[in-house]
Amino acid sequence: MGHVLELRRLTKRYPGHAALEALTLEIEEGEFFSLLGPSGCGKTTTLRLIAGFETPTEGEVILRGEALAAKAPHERNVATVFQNYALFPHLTVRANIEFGLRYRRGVERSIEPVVEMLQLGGKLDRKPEQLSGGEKQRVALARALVLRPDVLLLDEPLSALDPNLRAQVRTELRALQRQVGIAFVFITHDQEEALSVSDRIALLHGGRLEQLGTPRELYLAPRTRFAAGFLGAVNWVQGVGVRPECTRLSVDAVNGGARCVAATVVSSTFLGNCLHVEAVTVGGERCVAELARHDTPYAEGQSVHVVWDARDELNVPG
Amino acid sequence: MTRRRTLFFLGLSGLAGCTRGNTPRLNVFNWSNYVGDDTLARFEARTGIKVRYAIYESNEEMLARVMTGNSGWDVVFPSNYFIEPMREMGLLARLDRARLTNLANLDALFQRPAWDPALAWCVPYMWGSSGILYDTRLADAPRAWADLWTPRFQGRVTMLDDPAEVFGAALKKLGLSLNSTGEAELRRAQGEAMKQKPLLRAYLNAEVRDQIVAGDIAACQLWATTAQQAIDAAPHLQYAYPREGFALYADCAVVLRESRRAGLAHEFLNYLLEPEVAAGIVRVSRTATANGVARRMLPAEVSGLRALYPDAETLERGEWFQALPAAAQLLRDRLWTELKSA
Amino acid sequence: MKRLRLIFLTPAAALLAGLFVAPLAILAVYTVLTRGAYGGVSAPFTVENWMRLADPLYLAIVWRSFVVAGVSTAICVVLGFPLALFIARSGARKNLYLALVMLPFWTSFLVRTYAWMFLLRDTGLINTMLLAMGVISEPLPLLYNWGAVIVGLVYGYLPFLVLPLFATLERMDPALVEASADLGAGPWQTVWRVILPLSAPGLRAGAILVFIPCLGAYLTPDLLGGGKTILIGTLIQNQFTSARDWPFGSAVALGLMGLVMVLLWLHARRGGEPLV
Repeated sequence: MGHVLELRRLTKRYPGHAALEALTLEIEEGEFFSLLGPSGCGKTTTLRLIAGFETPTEGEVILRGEALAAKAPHERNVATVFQNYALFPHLTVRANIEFGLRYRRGVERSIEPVVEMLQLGGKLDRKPEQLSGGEKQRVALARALVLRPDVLLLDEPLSALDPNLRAQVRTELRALQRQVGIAFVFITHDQEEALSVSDRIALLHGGRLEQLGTPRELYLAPRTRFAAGFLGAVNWVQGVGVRPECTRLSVDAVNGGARCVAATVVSSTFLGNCLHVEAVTVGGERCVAELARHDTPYAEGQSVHVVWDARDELNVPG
Repeated sequence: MTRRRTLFFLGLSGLAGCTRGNTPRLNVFNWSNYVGDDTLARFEARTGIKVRYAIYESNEEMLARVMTGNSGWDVVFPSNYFIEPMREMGLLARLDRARLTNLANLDALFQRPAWDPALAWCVPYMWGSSGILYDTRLADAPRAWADLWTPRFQGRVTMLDDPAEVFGAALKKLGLSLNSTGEAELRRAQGEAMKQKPLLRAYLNAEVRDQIVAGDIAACQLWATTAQQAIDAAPHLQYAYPREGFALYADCAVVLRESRRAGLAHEFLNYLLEPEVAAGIVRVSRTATANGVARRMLPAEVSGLRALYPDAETLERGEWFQALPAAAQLLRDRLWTELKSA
Repeated sequence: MKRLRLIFLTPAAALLAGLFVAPLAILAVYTVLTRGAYGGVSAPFTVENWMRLADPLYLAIVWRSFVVAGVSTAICVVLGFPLALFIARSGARKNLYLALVMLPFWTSFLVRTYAWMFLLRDTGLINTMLLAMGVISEPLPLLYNWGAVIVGLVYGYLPFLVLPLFATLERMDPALVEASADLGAGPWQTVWRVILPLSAPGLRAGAILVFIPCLGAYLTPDLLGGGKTILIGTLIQNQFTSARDWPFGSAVALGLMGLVMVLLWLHARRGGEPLV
């Protein structure tokens, strides 16, 4: 399987600042691909450039081998799930889902499979205002998927949902993507979301590609301090990074393969599933150890050692 | 009849107040362009009376104001055919002729006018006619109303936007009195107007003046005073008194019965009758004064204006407008609405 | 709180009562009185003035007024919708364009209507230019016909359509337009299937704001129509002037108001936007 979507040195500059600078990416057929980054990193700009809502200053968007530069949004076989879903409020769920059918040739005329897949059977005659957030999201997905786009663009589709619902919905989303086999480009600022659903993640920072790789690569082998910190918490001790869950505490100094630094406990926080103990090393570096909740309780001001294994160190250059 | 402008509702609001302080004050409500620049100031200087002055654009507008009987106005200037109705409504004060020593200055025509032979209620002030104004370059001189019914003016002729004038011209064309009140006569007049309507560019009042001056219009029915303004602007225009006859009107000064300053009002009326004053006014206004002595004082190029002062022979064909009885009025409006709707 | 509200409401309520309700009440009483011989009203009470409204002559005038107002409103919609859309989409220049739309209000309506007469008449700007360019050999009859009346009405009332429509369009989520394009709809299809339906409340409010003054207009039909026809506004005016029939004029005026009220009620019932 080749790549379905290719971005070549895609650049968008506005007067005074560059929203996106020379982004080059290839997105594979059937891939769940995430664009991750903080706000202002260029991820939404990238999505809008792919959809055609913005014109690139430089560079190209290539869909199935065809450059899209000259094509208006309605001529591109991509579909978008908008952040607030952008359902047409004057149309029923059915009319919303059928909206695009008349414009795309070769698309099956029936909405039934998609409706069934997204369990919208009972809601077809409702107006968007009568739907819950989750239902709206499913309508937005159905409306886009029924067109069988080459790529589905999702602009923070979980952010408008109730937090309790998000974990469940992202699992469903992942399953749905597997089922339809369409490449998803998923925009998010939430690293946990990106890690849990993606085949690959492009981490953007300040309009540039910071790192590209699988969730595992990004989390375990970040190439920059920013990447390391954005994907999860990091303790920076003696110039190396260690994730809190790889950090242990010990009253006595430890010999052997492990690294060990003397420290003083600052605070201890019980989080239910685990215990966060914060300590300051002799070098003045703050670090957090994520400990099992049945681990020894540590008192504030207690002298301890921060301990980790060399294989858990993040090798961040520079 | 809206003689000056169609813009009835835009007239100046003139709620004349009561006398303030000790200076005697007189409230005068008149047509526009009916006094000279210094006419009021000189009266004030001579008598010490303060004049509050406002203008109106139609008899109806004036009547609507004074009808209540407590409008605050002392002197107004209704047209001759409004004198009788206003007298019947009890709005007018009988004039004290002993205090109007200058009445003798009036032209013979106005010494015993039909609408008030004894001049017991009004003092004629200005007068005029409605006839045909035409462009001598564009049309052979129309001599009769009937000429405005001929296709040679197709689309280049206008009539006044006024039922009294349009039906009046039609009645004259039929050889009838323009004050006919019978249903049959009025219906025949409407029939004439219906025949004429397709030939007309429009029914226009004062706004036709600029268009005939500019050359848009070849001939129009128009009031003499407006016609004179047009001729002043475009000497190739001429005013014709139609052969079948034409309408005459006179605006007259009256004292309202509600006035508590009748003495001052008489003083003002008598002042307006002074030849120098009356002549001074029409030098500016270029309207036709009812004051014979004043007219004789004017230079020939003013007193000889044919549009303003028809000769005696022409005047024979003129007919003064009269108040229309209520029933005829109702019928005429209906016929007018039908004409406009057709 | 309640008392405070009462205090603040009192001046407006008094003003409305004095300047709006009282004259209306007087007008209502006039409609059931007999016309005075020379204007004004007199006894006895009668319903004749209301009966006269059913006369085919006057019904035809009402019908004609509705047609003229309807045509003018339709043209305003056709012209105003793209204009409002353009302004709503013009970003930083929005306020400039809005100011331009409202610019004519800085001059009297009468003066602007006269300006149209200067444009349209035989020796007016348009005919003079066309003649000079040799496009025509005779002046076109532009003034004193239905076309001129409707041009004048559309010109005069277009801003009343554009402003509420603009307000509605500006509030519309831009993502909806993007969604439409994203789903394959071309620009025209997006206008037709998304923007137009969603701007219906503003469009309806604007159309009513245009239709009502057009229905009662008398200045424009008179000045640009040349008095060759008669609409409700002129009919009412005539009753208070040359016809000296105040009771009938009052009945026509109140009848027109009643019709307008029905229109507004229909608008409100459909969940329309407030008009101002």
